[in-house]
Amino acid sequence: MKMADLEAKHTITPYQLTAIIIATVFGGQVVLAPRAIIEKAETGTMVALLLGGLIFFGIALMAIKLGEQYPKETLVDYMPRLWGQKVGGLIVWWFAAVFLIQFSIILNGFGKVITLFMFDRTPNQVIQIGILALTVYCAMQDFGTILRVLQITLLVSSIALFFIWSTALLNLNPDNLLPFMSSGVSEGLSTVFDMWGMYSGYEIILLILPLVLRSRTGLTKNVTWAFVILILMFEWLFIVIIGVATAKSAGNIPYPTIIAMRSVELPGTFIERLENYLLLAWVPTVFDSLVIALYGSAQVIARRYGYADHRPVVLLLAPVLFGGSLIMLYAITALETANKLTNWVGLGFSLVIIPISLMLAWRQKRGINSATEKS
Amino acid sequence: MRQKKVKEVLLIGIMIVICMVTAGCWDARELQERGFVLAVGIDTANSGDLSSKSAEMRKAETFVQHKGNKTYRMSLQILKLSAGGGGGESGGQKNESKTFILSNTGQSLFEMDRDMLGQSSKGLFFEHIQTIVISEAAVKEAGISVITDFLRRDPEMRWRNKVLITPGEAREILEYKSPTGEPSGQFLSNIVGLHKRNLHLPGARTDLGFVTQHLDNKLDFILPRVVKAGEVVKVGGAAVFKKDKFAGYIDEKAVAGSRFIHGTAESGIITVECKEHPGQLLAFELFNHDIRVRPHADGDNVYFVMDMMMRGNLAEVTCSGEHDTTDLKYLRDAEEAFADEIKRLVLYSHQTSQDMGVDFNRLGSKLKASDRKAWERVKDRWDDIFPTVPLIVSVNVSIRNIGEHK
Repeated sequence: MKMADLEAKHTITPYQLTAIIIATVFGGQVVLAPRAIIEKAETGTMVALLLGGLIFFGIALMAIKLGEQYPKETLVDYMPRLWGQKVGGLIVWWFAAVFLIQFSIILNGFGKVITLFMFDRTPNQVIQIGILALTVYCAMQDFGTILRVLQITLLVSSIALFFIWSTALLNLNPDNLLPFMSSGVSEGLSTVFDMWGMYSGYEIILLILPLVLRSRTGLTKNVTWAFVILILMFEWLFIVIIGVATAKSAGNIPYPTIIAMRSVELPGTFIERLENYLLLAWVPTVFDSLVIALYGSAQVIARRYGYADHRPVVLLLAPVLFGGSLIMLYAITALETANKLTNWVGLGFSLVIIPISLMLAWRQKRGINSATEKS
Repeated sequence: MRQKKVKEVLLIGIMIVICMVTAGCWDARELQERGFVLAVGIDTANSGDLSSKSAEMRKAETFVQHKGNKTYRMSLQILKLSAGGGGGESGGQKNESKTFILSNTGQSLFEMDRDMLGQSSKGLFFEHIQTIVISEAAVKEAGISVITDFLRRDPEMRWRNKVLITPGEAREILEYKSPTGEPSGQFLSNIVGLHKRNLHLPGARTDLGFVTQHLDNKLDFILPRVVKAGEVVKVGGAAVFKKDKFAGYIDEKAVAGSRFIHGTAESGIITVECKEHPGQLLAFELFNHDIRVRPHADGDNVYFVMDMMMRGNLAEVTCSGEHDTTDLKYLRDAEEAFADEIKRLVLYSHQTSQDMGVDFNRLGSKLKASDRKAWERVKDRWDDIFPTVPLIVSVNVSIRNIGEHK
């Protein structure tokens, strides 16, 4: 008797879509990104973060609309039809590149953070290989397994992170958050697009949308929920960091999320050095986003070349990604370049490719409809 | 079948290997192998006893320095871990000190720290530091930013380390044997932790983390002052810093006023003289407060309005036999007198900061927080404007209780 394959998942519920978006977006950047953002936006970070969230929420809705034009297809199928074979193929690689460059940057940052704060005598590469091996193992599974792992770790770790952050309230000085607009409106607006690094990952919608069981109300509500939760979590994170450490100090500290926690003393308890608890809760969120980034990029590359199985691609990508991370480890300029590159690649995909693709899809549909009417 | 068996053997082999490599920390350092540093003292290289014997010892404890100068003397108070128990208090060792002190001279604190391993059989571990004592002479040498750079940079440091300034020698403070038997680092840290009940102690927002913040934000600030005279060690008053440069000391009254302005005075005692009985005192114990400092700016004309609502108890009346402390009129008069005294303390602190030309009450950052445009107008001239900025204080005191006896 043949057993049912419980791991092969061909459909997900709209709520699982919400969970996947959150799990993909929420990860390494909560520790790795705040310094650069706060250094630039200072106390205006919260406003910039909100505006950035709204902009990328708008793009995510466009991605949903785009996916709705092709209910049973992923971007690998419809991009070549919209843009032509060559350009469409490049866009598929562009999508993969968004996740792959991010993957190497997060892997590199993860290694640095863990060696700096937890295992100072363990070589960085060993830490990276450890999380990479785990990520590869998970990404080699079927989507059902990955989804289950994501849901469990997301729930447990994000709740833990939220509560650990909240302990910093004991040290929060509201004056540190003022003024809300640290510079003029134009300078403030220029930092909004730097927020892509915080919200990156929602592009995964273009890959997983065909799996979602469509509800009568559409998926707007689910994407809205995902972004509301993400915006609130990120706002809370930055309020805690700036409220505890001040914007200037946070801009001078490589990992202000961790240092803000270091300042917490829980009165009357033996618990101290809460940054270690924060790191323990952070590791699963990093793992989640790495898994989905690797799985997603392997899937699109495999499909692009007509392979049904993504697993060989995962195995092929692993050493490349590790190599990319090592280059960033040994050459600081490489990390800087990769950070700039991922920002431009990501912003380009979000602000150019998705909106134009949607317009092309609408135009194409109108053309088909009018041709049908004429006939 | 054969393939299945091979798989099973392989799986068991992998599990054994995983157990072998994950069943312990390869880089574990046992507790008894660590030298727990409890306090750091920083003096100038030529501080303290300069006799020939001491000079010989100093020569032995230091190292040949190829770059820089012998600028500072760093002393570390290290916990003695005895086999009988944590602090060495067990089995007839009660009179023995629980700590010992190592010193070294150099310029880089980190270089001195690592060179001190030549005097210690255990690796020096900084995660349990309680207190950092810096001598006035050392902060005058190069500013507090340079001295604390290593302490602010090293991941082993905590942000809650207490930082104190002494007009004397930091090593002497570390050598102090506290009456409670606690190591002096722990003793001082606990004293500063009691700032909530002592208005004379500037213990709030003066830890290493806050020093970092003040330096990053280029703010003026104060740090607790510790003095040692004979067998007495006392923490009170504060050392004032203009940005990172030492600017002098302020007394306990100015510290109390400053704590009111910052809103960090959670509790404390205010005393006034009895109007009817000169020389006799009334004491008010502050329990909680609402304090609001609002800046007003019109062009270059900047002033601050401070509203204070203080609630507490009548804690002591040295002429109580002469008064009925339940009498409402008596209490209203006392409230007025306490309000006047609090106002006096605040204005004294403000005046002191203006006289020193150091904005340690951080009125500038309050202006920046609430009126960014006004701050942009005056920020470059703030040092010139600040000494003339008025502070208008309004205080209300409410006596909620008179204690257990009238």
